[in-house]
Amino acid sequence: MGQPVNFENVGWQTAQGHRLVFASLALVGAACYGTFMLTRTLVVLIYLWFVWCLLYRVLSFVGQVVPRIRKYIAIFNIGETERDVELDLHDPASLLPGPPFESNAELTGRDLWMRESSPTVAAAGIVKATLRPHASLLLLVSEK
Amino acid sequence: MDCVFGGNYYGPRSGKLEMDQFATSIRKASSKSVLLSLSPGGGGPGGSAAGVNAMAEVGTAFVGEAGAANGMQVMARMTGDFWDGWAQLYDHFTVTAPVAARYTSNIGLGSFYPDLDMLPIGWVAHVPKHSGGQTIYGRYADFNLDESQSLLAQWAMARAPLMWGGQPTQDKVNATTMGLIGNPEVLAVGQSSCGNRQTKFSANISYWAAEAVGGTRHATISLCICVCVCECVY
Repeated sequence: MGQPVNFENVGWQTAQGHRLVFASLALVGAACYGTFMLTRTLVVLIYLWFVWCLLYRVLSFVGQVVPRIRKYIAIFNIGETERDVELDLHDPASLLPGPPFESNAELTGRDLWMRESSPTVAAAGIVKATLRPHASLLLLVSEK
Repeated sequence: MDCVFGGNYYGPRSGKLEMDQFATSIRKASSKSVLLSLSPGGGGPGGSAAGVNAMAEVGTAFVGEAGAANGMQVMARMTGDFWDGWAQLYDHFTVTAPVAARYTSNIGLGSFYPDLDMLPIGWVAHVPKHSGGQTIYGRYADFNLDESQSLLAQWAMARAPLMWGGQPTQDKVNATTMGLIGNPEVLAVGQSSCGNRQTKFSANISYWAAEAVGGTRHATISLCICVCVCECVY
């Protein structure tokens, strides 16, 4: 199963998007006015420019479709004393299910009880918390 | 979906005859998706790994035998009755839930849901209780907020069915109860995760992890739009 896609960098307002829009306008303009106003070479160049922009755009989109890795993490203190706990999300010894997080990926942890996201919760891939007796931490950690 | 319920299904009563009867009922079910719910009753396994394993095996046996290929959903109780005491919840952390999660993640046919019993949250009792010369008519659960959150998080991470065992009338449901049982992000954990398991248990700290899964619906729709735009341009 896939993951939700980050669409933040695939909007038309990006530089790639602008290039594709300009290329499209040039292509439509060339098509409308015919080759009698433009040389065949110029039309071919405009066409190639459009194709290149479109390919660039599609490849960028496909790159965004690559799923972000997300994992639920829960840490429970079932003892009778307050404890500082720590979990290294990059350490293979942590035995997290599924594919590992990218080693250089920025991770964001969302506290599901507080319903707040914070990049510091999983800073440098390490979850740290101080848990009261019988308390727990429930996080959704995802690559940003 | 058809439902087949089996009560007191643990120990000497869980003989082959009863298993055959369940299998027959499932074969006769009118739909392809069958919910088989097995309960051990009051005499079910307590905090022993062997008891929990036995109960899980009873449930998962049906997945292999009686039509898991038809998408049968099996929900088997892993424990005896669960109430709002920390000692019982402690047993769940140390024995029950780890075993239950192991079965959940290992089952390849159909689906298996480890039933850890209902969630004793909010107003949980009607029966008058005599204590210290006083009679108490009903009460809220003995769990504090930390314990209640740990309880729900444990059930969610183990992919146990979330069944609220409290009184739902307006005069008994307070904001704390609603905040616990009505948190959509916590409720979603059990429904959108796989590979759930306890990854480490050390010095009374229990670490759990699961892979979060979602849909590609938005990506698919966008891709379709992208293709349509391309076709129009050409």
